[in-house]
Amino acid sequence: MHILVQQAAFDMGAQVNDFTSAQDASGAVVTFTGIVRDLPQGGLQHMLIEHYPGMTEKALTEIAHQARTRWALDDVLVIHRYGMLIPGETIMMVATASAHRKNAFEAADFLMDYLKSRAPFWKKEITSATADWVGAKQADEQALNRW
Amino acid sequence: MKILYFAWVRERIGLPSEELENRSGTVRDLIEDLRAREERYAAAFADLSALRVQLINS
Repeated sequence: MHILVQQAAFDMGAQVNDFTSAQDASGAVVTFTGIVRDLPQGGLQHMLIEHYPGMTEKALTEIAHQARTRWALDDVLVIHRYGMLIPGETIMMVATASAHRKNAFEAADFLMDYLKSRAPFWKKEITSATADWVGAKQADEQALNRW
Repeated sequence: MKILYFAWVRERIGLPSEELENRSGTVRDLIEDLRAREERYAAAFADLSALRVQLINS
C-alpha cells in the first residue's frame, strides 16, 4: 500500500507503470486520475489545496485499509497533491490491483468517494475577482451511502 | 483541549488553533458556545452544513 501526500507534480504514467510492474498475482489494475478543471463560467486562475499535515496521511491510510478489507486487493496506491495548482494539472490519482477487474473497479470507486468526503483536504478556487473555499457537498455525502 | 481550524473557518476566526478548557457536551454545544463569542466566530460557523469536525484523542 502506498500513500503519498505531496506538493510536487507526479508522472502518472511512471506511477502506473511502477505500480503495475510490482504486481505478480494481479490480473487487473484500475486507475483514476483527478485533474484541476476550470469553473463552469471559466476564469479559474488556480486552485489552492490545503491539508492537515500528519493527519492527512493517516486518514488516507485508513481509507485504503477499509478498501482492502472490503475487496480482495493485492495493492493500493493513493497520491494526492496540495498547494497551488492550475487548471489542467493532475491533482491526485488512485490505483488498485486485484486478481479480477470487478474488485479493482469497485475499490477504486469506493476510494474516490471516501477521499472526496473524508480526507482532510480543502480547496480554494481563485479567479481574478474572487477567492472562494469549496464547501462540503450533499451529493458527495450521499455518494457514501452507496457503500 | 486544542482546536485546529482550517480553510474558511481559520480565515474568518483569524487563528489556526486555540486552546480551550476541557469540557463535556457535544461538538454542537461547543460550536454554539463559540458562535456566541464574537461575530468572527459566528461568521466562521454560519453554514454548519459545510462544516466537518473530527475528534482526536491524544
